[in-house]
Amino acid sequence: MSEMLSCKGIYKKYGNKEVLKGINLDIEKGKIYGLIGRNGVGKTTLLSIMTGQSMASEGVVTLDGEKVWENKDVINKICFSRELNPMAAMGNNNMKVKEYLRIASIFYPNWDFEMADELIKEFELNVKKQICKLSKGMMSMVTIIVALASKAEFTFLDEPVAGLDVVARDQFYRILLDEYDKTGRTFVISTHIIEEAADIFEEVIIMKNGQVILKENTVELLDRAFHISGKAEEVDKLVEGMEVHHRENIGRSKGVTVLAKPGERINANADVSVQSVNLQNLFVALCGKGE
Amino acid sequence: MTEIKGITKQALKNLLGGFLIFAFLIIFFILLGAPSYSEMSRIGTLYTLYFNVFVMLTYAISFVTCYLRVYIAFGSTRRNLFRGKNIVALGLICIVNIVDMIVYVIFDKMELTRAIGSFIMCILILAVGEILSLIINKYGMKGYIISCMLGGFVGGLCGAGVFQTSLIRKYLQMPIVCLSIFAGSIIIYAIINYFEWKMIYKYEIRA
Repeated sequence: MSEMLSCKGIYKKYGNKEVLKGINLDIEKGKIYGLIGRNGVGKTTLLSIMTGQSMASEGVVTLDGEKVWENKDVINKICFSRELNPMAAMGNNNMKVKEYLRIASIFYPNWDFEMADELIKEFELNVKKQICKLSKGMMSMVTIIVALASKAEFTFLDEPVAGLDVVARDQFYRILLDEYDKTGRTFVISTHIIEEAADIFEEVIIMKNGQVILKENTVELLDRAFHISGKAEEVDKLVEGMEVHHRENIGRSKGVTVLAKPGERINANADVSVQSVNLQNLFVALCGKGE
Repeated sequence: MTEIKGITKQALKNLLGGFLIFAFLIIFFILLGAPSYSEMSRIGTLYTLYFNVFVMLTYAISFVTCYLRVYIAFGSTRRNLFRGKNIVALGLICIVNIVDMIVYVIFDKMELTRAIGSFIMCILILAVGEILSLIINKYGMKGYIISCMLGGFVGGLCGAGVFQTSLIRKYLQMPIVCLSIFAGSIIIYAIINYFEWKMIYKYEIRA
């Protein structure tokens, strides 16, 4: 059996507010996962708990059956590169980038100094600058360097491309895929720039209201996601018994986004058109409010 | 072990700043006050006070305001963090006292009760630092500012001579009183340390 990071019945409460509501999730080794969800849905909290940085109110996270919480042997295999907060008055913001990376190297047993130096050059990052003086994009570069140079078997990135320009984002995806090809490390990436990253996600995890509502192979998921539009009665007839996630009415016409059963085919006709849906639109259909 | 070593090294490096501030202040106060001192030992006392306050408080505050967040974000276990923190705290108490004793020997005569008194001071100042770190963790900068105001108030009372230091010194010279206070300060420190452990254990990085 391959190595697996498992969450079982994870609940997290902040005071009276329940952020995570019974999450069961398995992260298999050697895959790139995309974790997507709307703001405040609990993505960072979930990643934090999975990596042993926060304590769950209920439930347990294990790696190959061993608990992650306060278990240094297990934590050594995990890296959670958090988004740096430019507004934080305290914490790492007064450190210089080189000091921040030097401290990181103490904590990750497989830290790759060479790779860290290469990435600094690639991103043209000024390591003598204080973190608080970096732009949002540069802060993201620092978190990317920590994530990749940590060489951790399970690497979690929280919003790694936030603030990055399109060239830097492209650089990141290229470096990430190259690293994945070479090492087969597991990456879990939380992002809001869904369409751009969709191609690199082997599996996608979608969160809504503190729960994981979907975890599936990206290609298989998109193969069964369709947008059906046409005459309202015809559309209704066609989608009967299907998992409908989004409806929009324009006069007598109607458009719906559906998730068909695996292998199920939907045939278009003169009154109805069937189109495939990209991940971003599917996400909007699954997590958006409108009917 | 590498991790604890790293935490320790970083804390000591961070303390360097505290040492520098301390050095400048001591020079300033010695130059300012030396002519009015009748005994050189007073300089030693003043020196000890500032040495303790700056070093201990710098350490305790910087630990929670800066490094706790960074270390946890890099995957340190709370247990290792607590161990690393206490290794540095104990090391600090020992180093500060060795320096104190050297100062006493140079400027004045050395007494056992005085050495124990110095340990008591160190432990209590570190405990104050830890209380401060707990307040900062709980209330953020607001807590820090209120703590500074309270600290200034107590400092002002000390400066105004509200506390009869000669009387305290007289009682501290009695071995039984001295040892009892020493034991008491250790108990106080242990209790505060327990609360700090609870804080570290539950510490969470909020985005």
